[in-house]
Amino acid sequence: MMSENREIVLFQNIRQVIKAEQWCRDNNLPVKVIPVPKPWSSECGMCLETTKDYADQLEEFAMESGMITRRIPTTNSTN
Amino acid sequence: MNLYFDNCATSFPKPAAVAEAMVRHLNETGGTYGRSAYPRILQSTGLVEECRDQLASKMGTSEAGKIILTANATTALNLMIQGICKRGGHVLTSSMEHNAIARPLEHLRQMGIIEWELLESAPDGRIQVDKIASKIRQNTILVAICHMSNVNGMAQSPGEIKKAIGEIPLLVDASQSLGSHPVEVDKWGIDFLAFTGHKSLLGPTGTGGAFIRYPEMVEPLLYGGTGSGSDSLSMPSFVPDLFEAGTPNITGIHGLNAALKNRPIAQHSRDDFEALLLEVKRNTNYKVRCADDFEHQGKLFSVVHNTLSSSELALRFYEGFGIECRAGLHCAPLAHRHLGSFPTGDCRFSLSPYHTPEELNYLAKAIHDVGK
Repeated sequence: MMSENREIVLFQNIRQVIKAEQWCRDNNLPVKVIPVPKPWSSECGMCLETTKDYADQLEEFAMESGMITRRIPTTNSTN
Repeated sequence: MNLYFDNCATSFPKPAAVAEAMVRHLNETGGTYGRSAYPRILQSTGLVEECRDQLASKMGTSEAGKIILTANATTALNLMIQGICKRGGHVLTSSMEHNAIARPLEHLRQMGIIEWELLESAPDGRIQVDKIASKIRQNTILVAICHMSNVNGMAQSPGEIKKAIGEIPLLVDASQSLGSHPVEVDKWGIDFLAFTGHKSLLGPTGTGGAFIRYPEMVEPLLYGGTGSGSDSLSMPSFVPDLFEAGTPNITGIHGLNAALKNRPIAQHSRDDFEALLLEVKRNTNYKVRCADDFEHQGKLFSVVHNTLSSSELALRFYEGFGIECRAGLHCAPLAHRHLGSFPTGDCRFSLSPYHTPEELNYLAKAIHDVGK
């Protein structure tokens, strides 16, 4: 269960989500692919949820790869 | 014996993995592209992106995200030609074009939007690069060429052409070449590229796409749902979404991805092919349509007989030898005008990596016997 200190990372498009999730898997970063929560539902259909620390690393990778991301802190459990 | 020599129309056979991947998607895995986040979609979407990466590798670009998946090369060419050409523009093209480029250009000309003109070329259709500069005008907005002719297999040199046109965008139709001939989008400076999945890439029909280096230069051809930016009635500004309205051919893309990952080793060599061409050329009853220089020869060629029409030839090849080939204009009237075979056309043979040297020998003998 993922519950505390959580962040949702939104991406510009589906390709970026797939590439980011693949990078997380390759680098053993625990992320979960979830539907984009309702307040941000205009984004592409999927996003990544992880802890703040891992979101920092993920954001660094995303920036280096030219991806555009948005981070949304959340305290709610998602599982 | 594999006597199918019409691989430029559509390739056959395909790697077994193509049908297996498509059946698996239809019967077992399912799933669309994006739109939600359950595992079935994640798997299917991941495979579409894997296919985009495979295509990027095949065409020699580091920018896989700028590959747009479409139903075929014609859709991709219409997207780019209609999306790039603005009123008052001048477009240069080659004398060897397929109607997939020629008709969109002519349509825009008839609408009073552009003018287009042919580049000068050698007898086999190769663009004379040193004469390009004299054709360029202040309002030349695009140079659009096929990489490999679907009539005689002659391959242009896009890198040299790009050097000659400088900042003017270069659009290359790689329908016949991608998969069977080197294509280096980044190294050659190609700005826009169209490809199809079902010819040299050995994938299923209904697949293809475009590489668009400068998305900001292209207006979308289709408008609709993308699963992104859905709060807006305008299309997203980013690629590939900007040009991918509607659900893509996901089953077909599964097949194309399998084709890219399971490319067969060619069962005949370039030397075998060259020997076939030399043998055919020995028969003086034929004019052989091919590149003047074998270095620029793709995996197809055509013949014109002294007395038999192209349709008579094709019938004799099939009825006498079981050989499937294509007669006529091959949707490329400009090329036939240039080669001197308009409007009767010619009889075309196009090879597959599955053809063996023995099958090429059989073809050579059949061409000789029919042409006696």
